[in-house]
Amino acid sequence: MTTNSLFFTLSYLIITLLPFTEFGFAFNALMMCLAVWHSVLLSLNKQGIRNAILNAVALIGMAITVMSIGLKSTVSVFVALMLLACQLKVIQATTLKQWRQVLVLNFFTFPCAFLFSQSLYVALLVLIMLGFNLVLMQTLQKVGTFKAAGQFVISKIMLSCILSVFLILFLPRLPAFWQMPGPQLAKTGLSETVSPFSISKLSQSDELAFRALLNETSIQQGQTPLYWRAIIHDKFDGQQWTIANLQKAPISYKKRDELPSYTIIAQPSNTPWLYALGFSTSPTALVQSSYFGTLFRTDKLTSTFEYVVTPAKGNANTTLSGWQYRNNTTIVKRLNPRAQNLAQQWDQQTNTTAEFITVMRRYFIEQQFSYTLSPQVTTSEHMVDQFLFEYKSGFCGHYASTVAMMMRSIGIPARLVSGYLGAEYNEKQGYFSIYQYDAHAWVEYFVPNEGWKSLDPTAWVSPERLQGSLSQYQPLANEFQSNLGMSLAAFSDFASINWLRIKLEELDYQWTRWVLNFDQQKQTSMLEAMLGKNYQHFSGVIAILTLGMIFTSLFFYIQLNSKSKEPDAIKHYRRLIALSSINLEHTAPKQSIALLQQQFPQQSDALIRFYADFSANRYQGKTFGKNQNIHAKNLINSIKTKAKRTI
Amino acid sequence: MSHSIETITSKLSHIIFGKEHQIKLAVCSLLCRGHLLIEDLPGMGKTTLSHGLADVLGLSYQRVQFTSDLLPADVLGSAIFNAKEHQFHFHRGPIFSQVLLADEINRASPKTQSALLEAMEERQVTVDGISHPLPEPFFVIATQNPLHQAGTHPLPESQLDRFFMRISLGYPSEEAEKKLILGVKRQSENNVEQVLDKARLIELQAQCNEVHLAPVVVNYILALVRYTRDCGKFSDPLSPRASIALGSAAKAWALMDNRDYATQDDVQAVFASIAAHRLNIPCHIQDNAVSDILSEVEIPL
Repeated sequence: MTTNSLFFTLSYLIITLLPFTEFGFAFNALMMCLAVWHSVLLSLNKQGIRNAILNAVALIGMAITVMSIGLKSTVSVFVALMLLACQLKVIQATTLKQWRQVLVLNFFTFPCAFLFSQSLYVALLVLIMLGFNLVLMQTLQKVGTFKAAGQFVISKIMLSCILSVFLILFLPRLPAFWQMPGPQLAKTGLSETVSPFSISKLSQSDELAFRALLNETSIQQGQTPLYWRAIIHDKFDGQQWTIANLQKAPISYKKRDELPSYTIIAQPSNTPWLYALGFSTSPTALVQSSYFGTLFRTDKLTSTFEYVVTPAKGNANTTLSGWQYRNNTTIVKRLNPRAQNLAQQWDQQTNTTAEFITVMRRYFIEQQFSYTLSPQVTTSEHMVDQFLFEYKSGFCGHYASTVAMMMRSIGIPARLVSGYLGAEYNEKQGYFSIYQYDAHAWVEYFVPNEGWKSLDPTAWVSPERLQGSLSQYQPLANEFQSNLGMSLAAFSDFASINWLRIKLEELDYQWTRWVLNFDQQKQTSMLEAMLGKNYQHFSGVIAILTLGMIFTSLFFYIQLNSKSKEPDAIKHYRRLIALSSINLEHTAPKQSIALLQQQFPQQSDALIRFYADFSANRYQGKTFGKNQNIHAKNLINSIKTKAKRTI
Repeated sequence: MSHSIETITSKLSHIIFGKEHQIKLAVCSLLCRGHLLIEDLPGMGKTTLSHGLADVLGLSYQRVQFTSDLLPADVLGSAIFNAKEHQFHFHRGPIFSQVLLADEINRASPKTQSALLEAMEERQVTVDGISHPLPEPFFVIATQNPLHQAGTHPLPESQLDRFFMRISLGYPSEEAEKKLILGVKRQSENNVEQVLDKARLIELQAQCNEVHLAPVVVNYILALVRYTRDCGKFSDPLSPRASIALGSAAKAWALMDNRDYATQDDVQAVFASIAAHRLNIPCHIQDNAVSDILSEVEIPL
């Protein structure tokens, strides 16, 4: 057990270091130190650390944990404390009882990883860890080889897998009895504050943001390229854009019947903001549409969430109230005087908003602005001025901020929208994947009598950006890939790796859609597809049948197991006495055979021979071999056929 | 080997007709070095059987007729003052023999019964602080009248437990009784010829111990014993001594059947005579009560 305990240490370390658990550097270092300590103790073959030392380490460890994670994210703190406690228990454990405690605790500790991520890979990892745990439990319980224990555990896991698939599919999906707060995760998604000017390198992640299930036709009717709106920013202080007050004001809209609905499966983002194309509403519970036609959830997204988006009538809103007008034209007059001046000049040259935009566009193109993911950080407090007149290069945030600010300065209501642009289409499965590196910012401005319109100034300097996902945009490929760090998407140049990436992505999609999001609704539609519309009548029957099947299969499994362990001699004996016309269950074997002899005088000799074999096996410990088996079978058959003839 | 046992049983069936099973049980009890209690109405052949057993085994025996005024000293012996030597000498009682025939044991007072039963268990007699070992082998074959008879003192449960077996001969069959009436010579043939000697008997007893008792048979014994403890029908369930007795009796029964392994059938054959008196089941309902137990307990295979 002592050497095997390295497995526990390794498991705790893996859970600690999983990229999404984010316990903080200090805690990671603590766990690593403990792991090293444990392996050193093992290599020195030293056992039994003094409890005083362990208690001291535990106290220090608790302090480090709390300092490293903070008390805000209670779930993370408790999971971390659990890991720490388990690790210390492993170091302490010397007795059988203590090892049992560790093994049992692991059944709670390992699945804690699910609190942070429910992806296929984590599920596999936890399954493997639990499998090993079971194997160790088995070897601890009884003496046996590792291989035998492994085979035993694998057979049991296979059996429970079949059972659990059955349960998932057919047992009615009930809502959770209780819910616990999810851990607070720092996600690289959209930020509620946009301050592009202070970013030197747009660090990008190939993490999935969400998937959208919409077919090609609905895209053609809708917008191309795909602008996924998420957050509206309408407050600008000259340096950064902050989230609108009305972002979380629920308003119900009428749906537009001519446009089809579509489904989105959002990854956990730890924010309430959801994604939709254009003005939308949603029939899904917990999802509400805001004043801006964006969608949000009433609580935060801590696990994958599937919802339906219905395009809504919202753009009909063609007038702007006074306070809304003021709100969307406010800028800090003191800052960025040169940009304001330039805007004033253009305003005098033009008559309409459309003309103003054309002039702006011409300026950006003529001045040879460029798109970069690694912009220079502005040093002046007049950030827009510095970008507009000095650097002339930046990413979407720079362009959107600048254009919106200049429009505001001449009285055109404008606001910043952040969301995602583009998508990677999976033709085989028919869905879009939108990654974190597809995050984008653009402008919405108001035209009296026409309503709010979108404008993407980034497209002026980098029209290719609109063609699709950033990953497919060649000129920026190098920069994009270097900013992406180590990931499969970074190697998409190699055909095989790209193929692998797409396959893994497909697998993950199926996992998310059919395992994580298999809810009551999905189950209902599956059962409807299988049993027709009237399945409701059957649902109770199905539930009872399911439970019945589980219990009967369990019963038969136990029966089969106990029966199969019976020696052949007993099996044949039982079959023989079952053939008798009188109940011989409480008669001792020899007497039973004698009574059988009376009933079947023709088989008398064969019965005597069987009893000889039987007693040799049962009372003298001799084997009941092949010959004996054949004889017993023949005997039983001959009695059976005789019984048939007499009938 | 068991040829001699067969001879014993056949010799004994010449004096007790039609009671082969009871004779076998009695021999089985002696093979297990167990004391035997024969309970029956007067005139059923109790004494004849016990005499025959002693004769056939070639053992020295003494007979004591138990009466209500019999004292312990009458059985065990007593110290007598030798006037010449001015010393007390222990005068051995009838118990100092290889077989003691205690006729109508339940007619004696409890005091005398206890004295006898103590000697049975410890195989020695202690008088005035001096222990006198009893000869080897030592059997007590006691007979008793059914308890409803007048002038009987029932043996306490603890003392009944010391009898290895209780058998009951019962009325003979019509055929056997006819033979009894016609066979005038029977009384003269009462002295059955000796079949075994002491060494041979000890050898047979040792052989009993070597009979294989398979785990399933042990499990069956346990199941039976536990049933009497758990079913709640019996105020005095079977003791561990009874379990041990069942095991050794099953072995002896197997040996008598020419086998070197015991089976559940052997246990069933000896169960009634070993369990009934320990469970306080009267003789006349013994068969029914015991077959009820046997049919209730599942036989482990």
